[in-house]
Amino acid sequence: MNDNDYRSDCALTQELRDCLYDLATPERPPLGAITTMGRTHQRRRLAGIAGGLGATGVAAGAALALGLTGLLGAAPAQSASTIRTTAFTLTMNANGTATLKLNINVLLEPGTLQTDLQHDGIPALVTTGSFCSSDPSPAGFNQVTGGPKSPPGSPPVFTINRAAMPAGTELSFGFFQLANVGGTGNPGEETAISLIDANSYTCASIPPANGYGVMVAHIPGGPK
Amino acid sequence: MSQDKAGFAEFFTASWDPCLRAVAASTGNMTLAEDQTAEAFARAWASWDKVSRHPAPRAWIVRAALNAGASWWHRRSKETTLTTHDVANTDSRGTGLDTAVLAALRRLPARQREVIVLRVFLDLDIDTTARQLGIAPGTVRAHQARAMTALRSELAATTTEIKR
Repeated sequence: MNDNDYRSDCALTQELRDCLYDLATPERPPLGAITTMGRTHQRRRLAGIAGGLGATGVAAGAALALGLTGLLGAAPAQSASTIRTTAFTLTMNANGTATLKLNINVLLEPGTLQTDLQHDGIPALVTTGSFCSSDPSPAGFNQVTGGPKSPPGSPPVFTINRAAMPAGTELSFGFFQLANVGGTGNPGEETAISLIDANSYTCASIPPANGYGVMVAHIPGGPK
Repeated sequence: MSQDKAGFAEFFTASWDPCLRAVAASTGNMTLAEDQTAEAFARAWASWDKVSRHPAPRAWIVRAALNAGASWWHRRSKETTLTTHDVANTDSRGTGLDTAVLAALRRLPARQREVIVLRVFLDLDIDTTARQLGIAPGTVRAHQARAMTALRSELAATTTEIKR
């Protein structure tokens, strides 16, 4: 290493910041344009909640299907809406519940799942290599989630009833790659789900076990 | 603006530019970054009661923007590897996005790049960055150290190449 190619952390940090400040950025959009987009999000979220309550099930189902049409292509109104990535499939059912199917052997991008869940009215915190939980765990977890319904070794399928989520809570998903999954001696994946208080939770890098307020699914194998 | 959206206008005015810069630096595409950042602010407006209480609202915006970009990209490309936020670098000319250091930043693994964006561009401390990413503080330090080493190495190689 010589003086010319050596950069200290401080110098490099300053260089990164300087580059950022030197960027030529377009003008800020008008606040009205942002709030108009925001109202669309709000309506979509409210439509999802209404669908979950069943008060206007058919109308909300249609609204949800229409809201996602731009992303997913044309879909019949009143049918379930589905988001498919290689790592998971998220289906919004006509009765207001959501079905999440995780695909085996595909590396999951937590931000993508979190955004898609939130987009469909399910406040969520998705992490890999760690799991976030609240102590005490908010009540109602068993009403919010069901599953996994699939047999061992198959892709886990969870049902989420967002209407049953108490205000101020989020669903926490933690994904782990384990050398010894479920005591089988084989490598695999663990998925843990819990209901958390959005304003009070801690995250740990230790995979949790099944227990009160925590649901765990084990899948042999791992991402390819 | 209604009472429950109080403070959003000030936040938007003060934070648009730094958030857009961070997203653009991370994606390398100013036009896409503008769309993603606007989308993130719209989501923040819709959830302002929650975002306004977030310990680092600008970090919330930047992560939401990058995640929106990831979803956008993944849905269209149907790629099997879902680990990066990379998008086509087709809009960097004349914006300052094509500097060697920012190009090197975009070649970092997604998690290392996120750490640099939060720690360096948004000036978050280690603990807030860890909470924001859902990882341990020690993991943040490790990602940052690896990222800085990789950037130094890339830039040293670039400098050597230019000298030749």
